[in-house]
Amino acid sequence: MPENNDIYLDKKEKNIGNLNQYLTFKLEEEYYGLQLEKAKEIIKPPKITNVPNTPKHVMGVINIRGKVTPVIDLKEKLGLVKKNKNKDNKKIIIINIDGIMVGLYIDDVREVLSINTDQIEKSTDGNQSLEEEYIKGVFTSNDNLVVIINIEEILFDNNSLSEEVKDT
Amino acid sequence: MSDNNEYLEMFFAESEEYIMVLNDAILKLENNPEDKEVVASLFRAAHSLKGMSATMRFDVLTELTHKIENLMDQVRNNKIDVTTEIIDLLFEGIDYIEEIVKQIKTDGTDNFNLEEYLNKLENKMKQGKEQKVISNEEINYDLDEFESEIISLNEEEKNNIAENKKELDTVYAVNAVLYNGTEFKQVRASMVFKEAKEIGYLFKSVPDIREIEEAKFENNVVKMILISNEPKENIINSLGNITDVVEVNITDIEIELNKNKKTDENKEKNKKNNINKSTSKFEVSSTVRVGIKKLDKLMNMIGELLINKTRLEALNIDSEGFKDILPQLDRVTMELHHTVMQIRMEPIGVMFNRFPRMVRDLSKESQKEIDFIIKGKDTELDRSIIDELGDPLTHLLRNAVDHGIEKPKVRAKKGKDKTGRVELMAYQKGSEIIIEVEDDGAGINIEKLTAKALDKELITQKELEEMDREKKLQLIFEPGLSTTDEVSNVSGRGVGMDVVKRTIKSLDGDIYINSEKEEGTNIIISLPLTLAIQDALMVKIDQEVFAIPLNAISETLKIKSKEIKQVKGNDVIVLRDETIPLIDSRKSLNIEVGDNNYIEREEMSVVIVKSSGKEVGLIVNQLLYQQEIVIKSLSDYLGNVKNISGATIIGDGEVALILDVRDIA
Repeated sequence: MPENNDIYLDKKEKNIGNLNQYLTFKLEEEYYGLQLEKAKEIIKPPKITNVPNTPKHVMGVINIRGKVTPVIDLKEKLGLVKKNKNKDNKKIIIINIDGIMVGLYIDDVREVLSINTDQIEKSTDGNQSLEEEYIKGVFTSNDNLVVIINIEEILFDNNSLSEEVKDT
Repeated sequence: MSDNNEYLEMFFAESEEYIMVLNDAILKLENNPEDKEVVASLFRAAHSLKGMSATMRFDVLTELTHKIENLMDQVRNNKIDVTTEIIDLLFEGIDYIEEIVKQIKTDGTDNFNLEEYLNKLENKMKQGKEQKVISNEEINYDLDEFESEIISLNEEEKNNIAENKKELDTVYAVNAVLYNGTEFKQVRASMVFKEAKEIGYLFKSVPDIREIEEAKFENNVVKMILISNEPKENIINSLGNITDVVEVNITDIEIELNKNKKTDENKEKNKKNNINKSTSKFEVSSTVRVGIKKLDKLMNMIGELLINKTRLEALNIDSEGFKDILPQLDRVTMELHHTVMQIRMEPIGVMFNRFPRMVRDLSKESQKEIDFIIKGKDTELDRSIIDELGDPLTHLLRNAVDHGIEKPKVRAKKGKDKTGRVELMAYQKGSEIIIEVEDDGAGINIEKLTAKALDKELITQKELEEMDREKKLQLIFEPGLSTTDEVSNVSGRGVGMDVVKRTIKSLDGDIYINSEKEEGTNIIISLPLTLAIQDALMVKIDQEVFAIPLNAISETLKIKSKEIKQVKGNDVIVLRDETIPLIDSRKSLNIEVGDNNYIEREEMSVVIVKSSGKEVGLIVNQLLYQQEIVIKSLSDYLGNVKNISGATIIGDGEVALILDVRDIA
């Protein structure tokens, strides 16, 4: 992945046949995946404006082409231990869920993988530190286990701000 | 049928206007049954509404408005006296019209069972009907001459015809005479146009298409200039086949086009006709109807422009040209902003107009006598704010009538005038619009209110003891508090004062209440002139830049720590004999203060803000500069964040939050 330039995701050839495209990224030493169509772009973190009176996982807001976009610390939200302090590779994945833009703050972006649906296993063998409902499935790529996260569930679960969102 | 949507929108906009005119006129008529002007305006509105519905082929609505028009006609001709019964009947009719229009909006049809109402109307009219209405005759006078007279053309039009005409074309003057008694003149005329357009090029017509759509069409002759290569006979046949077309006259005017003396005379004559007609019916104004969405888009774009201008300024390039252009750019942007803001402004009267009717119905229902006064109808406010104000004001007025004003007997006992007074006013104060709802009713029972708040555990006894009278009154805006125990069917729609407050706040406004027992209640709403762009003071709190809207600020000052006094354990300053509580902005924003208390600082920057109707001193780290900011929502994902009303984008492209000081105290 190029280091300096922000990446605009081109999704012309997504989901061919039974193949689904996943954007994989790193949180600490673990690999995670997200359906590519949910992601809009990947940027290097700009200065994030802190928003007071919000939950801890809300890092603040950034300006994405005139739109005020909240940034979520995914590790904080998922309850992962934060060891990686190296800021160089950190990225923000901008996702769009039903018109609501949210930025996910992650350690590094890996690659886009086309995975056949039958390669994806539902079970995680309880090996994961994540809650069951946050996981859509797992697959193996280059001997690495990639966990596909259920981003809607993560962002809009009860501990989140889902109620306010529904109100508006 | 793609045009249809556009027409529908027009139809909705205009029918709403007419409904308002009708309601207004009936109210006036009730107070002034002899006023012929009002009767005439009622008749015209019903007539126009009928014309529009007929064009749109809403038959039920057409019939309803037609009957109402007939009733008004009888009133106009003194065949029926205006009684309360008639007024109620008319109001009922308007309600039906409103219902039907609503239904058309939802499913596009006007299927509505009106039989009962129409029968009632019919019966009422029979009582008054002795002679057959002969109003048709008036219109028909001189008709023969008018029917045969062809359209007149000016020089320019003649030249245009020559340009549009192809080699084999002939220029015809066609007059299609419609059956005098037709119910659907507008529809028939539109059909004539449609047919004519198929035959050839419809160059000009009297009335023109717009006049027909707006029902400015009184004669039953449609006159056209038609350029076509069809022979005369075919044209007569096609047009003659249209229902209710009784006669088609056609003249080849090519020869006449060359010698024009005669038509000039006709033109003069026709012109007079037209002028008489239009001035007697409507005032033609040179306005354009624009959808609010388009204006919103325009405003957004100006917002973007403004942000980019601010960013450009921040670059601060050291060049002559740059320094020349910036002030120019500044001026143009400001003017553009100002102009669009002006366009979005509308007199608040358009919304106030619905209330007299409502108050009348409510007071009748609850058997109260109420003098309802509206002031400041002309006060202008951003259209999008006006749209949002309808429901909260409805609620406040309902409250005033329902819970405020007492019944006449009770009032008499209290030594008050039997007739209660409810006043609705709007006026501008600085950069804010103030709306007041005032009544001289029973006032709010504070004891009852606080007892309830305690009961519902909204406040603790200790908190209550610390509250002053004013603060206690504001409790009424807390959710779940309504002072009357029984909920009446009038104001008990499940909307409480908390919803009113929430709506006002979402408009970036504020609301507070004053009330004296037995003297009445006064509710004051303050609103920004416009939503999208505001002047703000930028301040630094901790390490972040925040914007505080200027309209919330009364002044800024620097104080020394020794000026801080203590009252009941709270820090205050005394400013011009007023005690003003101090608040550390970092605490309101949950920023960890640590040991670094402001008291230890040598000098402090204080912004005096208006919060919940009171002045509060907000201590910030640094006063930066004043700037116009474009208000953006903080993101749907975050929802409502305490003490933050939105965000804006500042010079370096970063986001700065807008501080909501209204509840910070």
